[in-house]
Amino acid sequence: MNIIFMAINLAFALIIAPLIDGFERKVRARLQNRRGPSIFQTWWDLIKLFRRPSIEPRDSVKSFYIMAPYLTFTAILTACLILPTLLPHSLNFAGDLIVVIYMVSLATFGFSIGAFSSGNPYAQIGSSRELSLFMSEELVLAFVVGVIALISRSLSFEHLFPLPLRISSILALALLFVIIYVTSSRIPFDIPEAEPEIIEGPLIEYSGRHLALLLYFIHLKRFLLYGLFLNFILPEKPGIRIGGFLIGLVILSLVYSSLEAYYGRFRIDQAIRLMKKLSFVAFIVWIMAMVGW
Amino acid sequence: MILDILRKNDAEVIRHDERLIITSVPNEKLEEVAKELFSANCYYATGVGVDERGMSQGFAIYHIFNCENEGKYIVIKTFARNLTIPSITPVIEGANWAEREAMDMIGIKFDGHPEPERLILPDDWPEGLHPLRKDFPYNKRPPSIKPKSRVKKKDPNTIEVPVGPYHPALHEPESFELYIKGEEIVEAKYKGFHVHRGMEKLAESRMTINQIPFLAERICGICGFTHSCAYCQAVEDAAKIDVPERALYIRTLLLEIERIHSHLLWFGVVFHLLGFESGFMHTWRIREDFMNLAEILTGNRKTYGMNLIGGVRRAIDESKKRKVMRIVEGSKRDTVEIFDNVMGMRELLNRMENVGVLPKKEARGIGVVGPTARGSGIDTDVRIDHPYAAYGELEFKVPVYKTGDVLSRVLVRYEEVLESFWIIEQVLDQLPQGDIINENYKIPEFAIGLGATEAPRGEDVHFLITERENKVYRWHPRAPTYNNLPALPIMLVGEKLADAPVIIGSIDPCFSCTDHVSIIDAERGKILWKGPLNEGVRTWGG
Amino acid sequence: MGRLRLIGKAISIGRVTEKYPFAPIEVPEGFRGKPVINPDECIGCSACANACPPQALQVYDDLKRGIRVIHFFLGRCIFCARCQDVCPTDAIRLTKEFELATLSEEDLHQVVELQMVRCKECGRPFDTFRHVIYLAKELPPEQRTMMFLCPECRAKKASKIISFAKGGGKIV
Repeated sequence: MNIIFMAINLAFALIIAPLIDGFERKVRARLQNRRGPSIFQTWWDLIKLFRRPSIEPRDSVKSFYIMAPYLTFTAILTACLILPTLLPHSLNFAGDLIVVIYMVSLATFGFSIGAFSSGNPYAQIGSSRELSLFMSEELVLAFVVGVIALISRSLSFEHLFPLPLRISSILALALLFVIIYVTSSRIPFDIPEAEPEIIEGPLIEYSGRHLALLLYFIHLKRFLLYGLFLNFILPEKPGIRIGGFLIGLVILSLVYSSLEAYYGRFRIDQAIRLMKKLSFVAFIVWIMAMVGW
Repeated sequence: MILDILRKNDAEVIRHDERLIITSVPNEKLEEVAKELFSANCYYATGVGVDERGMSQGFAIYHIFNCENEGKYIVIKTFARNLTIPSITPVIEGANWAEREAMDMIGIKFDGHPEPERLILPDDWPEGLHPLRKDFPYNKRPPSIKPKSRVKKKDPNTIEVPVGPYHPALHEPESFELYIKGEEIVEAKYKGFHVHRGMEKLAESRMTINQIPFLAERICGICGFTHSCAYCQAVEDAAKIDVPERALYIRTLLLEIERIHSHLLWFGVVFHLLGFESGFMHTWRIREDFMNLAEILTGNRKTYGMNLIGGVRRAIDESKKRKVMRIVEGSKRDTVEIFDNVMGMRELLNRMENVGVLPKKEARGIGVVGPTARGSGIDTDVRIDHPYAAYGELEFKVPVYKTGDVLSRVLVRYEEVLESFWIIEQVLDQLPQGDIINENYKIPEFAIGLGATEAPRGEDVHFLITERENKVYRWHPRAPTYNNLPALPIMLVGEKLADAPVIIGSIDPCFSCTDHVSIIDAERGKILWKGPLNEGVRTWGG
Repeated sequence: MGRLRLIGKAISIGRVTEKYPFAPIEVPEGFRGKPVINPDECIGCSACANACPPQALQVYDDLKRGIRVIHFFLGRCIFCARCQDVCPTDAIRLTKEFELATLSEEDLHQVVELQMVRCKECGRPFDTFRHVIYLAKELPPEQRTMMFLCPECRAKKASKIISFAKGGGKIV
């Protein structure tokens, strides 16, 4: 039975992730006095790209370059199986929170490997930015996970959700909210892609199917992170949970895309400085959790 | 003061009135004169090489200086001796490009030029062919030669990042080679002149004097009207044509509408470069009103096509005047509101403050113009220094900021937009009645004229020599970006790669304006003669 | 806070983009769109071709057929309306039409052909009927006798008349 529910979860993720992006495009367009494309546009884009052939640049390290999109995509699909999203069913095992985080990191890593092996200077700059941003946010994430583990005395999703109401848990969720924003590379943190500066950085050489996989990965990652956040606040009752999950998705993407529309881009050093400050805050929250607040 | 310098160096004054001095300086005194003029606070505007074999003897170069303090332009003519003229680049850095351009296009050698390399002609252009010489047919297409391969030294510690010819931050084909270490730019090289349109040759060989305003307008897609204005002023100056006052006011009105639309466009671009897309939409929303306004007044959103020699083509009636008033009033409030709020966004300010600094001294040496100069503390504005159109009768301020960074250039442009609103209000208030064009004139032969306007990007100079039968012998437009681009390497070195687009954007570069001056447009000639009807073709106006 | 105010502003203004090309766009009076020649009014004086900056308008004589061709090529047109300014009979007008993309090149050409007058002396076609008649209105009656002569023959004849007058009625 569990397998079927997990399959439903996965199918939901695959279908809804590009739609969420379509919805966010519509919201941003509304905030910019535009009409915006139909919310299915992201889907049409992906379908078009999947039909197109891929090209490998001459200077690239071919094996890594081709492998990277598949590695990235597989890693994020695996994470989708482990994390409960629409339905509260998943592959349960001890320490699966760590595995989800590990899988998302693996995907990011694959993304950078592909960019590095493409041989394009823009892609290399982009992926080195991606990695340094990733490193700097990792510290904050580590403290947040530490806080969550302290509060619920577990690292497996079965015992984590929902988080008991405490000062440290609220602060940890607030930090998680910020980290999700940063990780999903939205303005002002879209520094690795920064279209006017380094022309979509890591993605620059990718085309066709491979580009589609990487874009799909970005949408899935955003969806997955929404799911992670919602899991912490939704009640466990099945009926309320599904409705709450859907409403939560809409609210989160509304908030995130509005923020994105009204920010300018940071420079990488500014972003890292901000993350350093945040990790200090996270450290304090962790101490608060230690003393039992 | 200026006359003293000229007299001391055996200069022969050809023309001297309240806005222009034309002199002829002997070959060996040129460097001395240039040096003294530069230290007397005259900055270098441009240089024009002319093949004068059709009107006198040999080849000459006309160096044009802008003496803001005295409100005069100085044109210094020097004949080449054995095709050689002493270079003034060692004395004034800003003359570098102008001399190299004359070298490419006319074939004058400059003695003592520090880097006598090709600037405009492409690498595969044969040696010894100079397209702007009079014996070079406009439709000649020489065979291309194998370019000399340049060996590049590779530094293993730096990465070469090509910005352009195709790059989303540049909206025109132009290329920068940036050498970076980590994220820091250690060296910047500019390679330009990809967009050759051969306008000068086209105008000199195929067009009549009253057709060229429409060609001049197409030098730039954003500030075209200011170019056609400068051209018409150059002809009016050469032929001493009186322009009716009403026409001057209408020109001023359109120039200011153009400035507002250009600056608003630029703000949008800068916000886009900084990732703030909503700011882009807000400023372009305001700009759209001005595009519609131009459409009502002139019949088109851009390329107004309003200028003719001696005046303008359409009058402005009362109902149009009211429409302008209404739009200006609404847009003024909107602009102020958007900007006050945007300037409160910390992350945008952080990206602009102390980024891309251009110190005043370097700026002067290169001769940068417009908001780029005013952002570096140089108080220069053609509208004040050399009043043209109706600016002499209007009241307005010129904002100047001292820091020289990207932010100061933004602020200069923002205040200019507000001043432009104010100028438009004054123009509408004072708009005189009467004729809009004076068509009663005769074009003298080989008269020199100079027209200068303050384009949104800076000083725009058109130099012109007339010819018989309503033709021009030599027409040389100089767009502001031509003077501003050499300042970019100074701004870029030492900055982060992430800031490169916004720094390049901050001078509001207009590459095709800079490049217009070039190779022959052979293709246009071809299309014209196509088809079976070519027997008995009469060339009109040629 | 400025950020929130900007968001509020954007929401209060709403959409500003047009639904073009799915909804039509109005252009104001005096818009300079596609020029169209009215063949009934055109007299073939070629003033427009003289003024046209990009030489999109060309006038040439097909001497064999005795026809003057006014050839307008839209592909070169810059919509400056100089032709409209100089046309003595208002035959060429700029319309409000601006959607000019087309799949066939023929749509970009307009050709007006006008019958020419043959010179009474040498038989060479030299001007259009309409232009000759248009000019005749302005001419003093005594000169109308020469209106069907080509400029060269007219010059010859005129010098003959003058020398005839000088020689006191005798051919010198």
